[in-house]
Amino acid sequence: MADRLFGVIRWRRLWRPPMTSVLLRQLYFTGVESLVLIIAIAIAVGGIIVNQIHYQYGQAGSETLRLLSLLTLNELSPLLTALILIARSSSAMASELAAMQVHGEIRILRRLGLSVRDYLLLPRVLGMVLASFFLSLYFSAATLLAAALAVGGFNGPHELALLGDSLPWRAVGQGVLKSLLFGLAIALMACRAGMRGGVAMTDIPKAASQSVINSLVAVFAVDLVVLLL
Amino acid sequence: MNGTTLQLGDTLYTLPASGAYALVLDEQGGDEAVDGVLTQLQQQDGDLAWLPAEGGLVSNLSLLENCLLPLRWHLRLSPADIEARCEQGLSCLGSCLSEAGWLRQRPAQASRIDRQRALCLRVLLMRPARVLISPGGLQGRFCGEALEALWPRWLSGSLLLYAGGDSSWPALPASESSVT
Repeated sequence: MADRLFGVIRWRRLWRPPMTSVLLRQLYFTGVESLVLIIAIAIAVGGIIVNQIHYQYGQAGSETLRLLSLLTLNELSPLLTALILIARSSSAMASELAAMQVHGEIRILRRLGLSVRDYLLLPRVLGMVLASFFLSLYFSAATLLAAALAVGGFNGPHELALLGDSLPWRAVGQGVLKSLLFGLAIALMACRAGMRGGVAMTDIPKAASQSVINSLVAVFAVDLVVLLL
Repeated sequence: MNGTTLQLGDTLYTLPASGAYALVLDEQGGDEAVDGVLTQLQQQDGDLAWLPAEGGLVSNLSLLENCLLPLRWHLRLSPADIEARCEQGLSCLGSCLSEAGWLRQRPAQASRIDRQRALCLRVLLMRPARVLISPGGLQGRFCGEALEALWPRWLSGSLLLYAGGDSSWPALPASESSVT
């Protein structure tokens, strides 16, 4: 109990106002600005899968929704969200950090007595983890709603509500865990690639591409590890 | 604050709490030499500000955000206190918050003089016990004139360290000309 309390106090001391600004900016760029894209892709995915399962293979409507919800909540939603975040935000984050490195701004922050880890990296990592979790949630909701409407028309949301009882909660928990871990992996790879940037302008695109490749490898590796656990 | 020590090469210097000193750094050392001095001073006491010649600003923040960054990082002040400090600092620079539209610009959009004003304002807002001035940090039309007038009044109790490859020291109320 005491440790917990002191942990909170330490966290409060660690967290400073400029970090909140960086976190909010990160959440805006990674989370809010990706939302339309995520929802559009989620609706398309819901429609495509329903078309395959329900209309091509003749699976019953409720069974189609059950299969889709399992697939979406456990795998599709965290993975596709992670892929979108890699394409959109991981490269941007790495480029920004590498550009700061090239222009000597990291050195400036150190000279001002700021902790680069606390000011630049910690809010970015936290922002990416939170964005990954919430975007994954929105992805699932949009996919399932689109699929329900495609299968049952205006009765779709009612069928979706009935799913609640039959949902495998372990799979849902796994999906949540994956979305958090994917966000963490993407942010760490982007920060690593960005902070390793050298002093030449050509190091900035190198950092961006390195970040994308490393994030992809990390996300699939994490997915495999969670699957095996 | 007494007992500030600084090791340059093999020599250990004990500096008084206030006064102005030129630190003759290794010319080959460049940025690393300045970093070395800053690191030593930061490790002893965080009450320190840095005044660079040029640059020294983060490009994705406005001039105002750049000025407030170390203040909000090192000191926990209320918004009212921060605003009061801004007003006081700006009045010393011949401006005020309502007329400080230039502070909303990004460093790349601002003129050289506005960037120098922002660098000075950043130091004034901190009201530090010690200031490390990088080579050329007090030069230029604006800084040369403004800081000569401001320094004695604002930071008279502070320790000013001019770090550079030479000891050319602007007209400051220096109690001693050089440590090395």
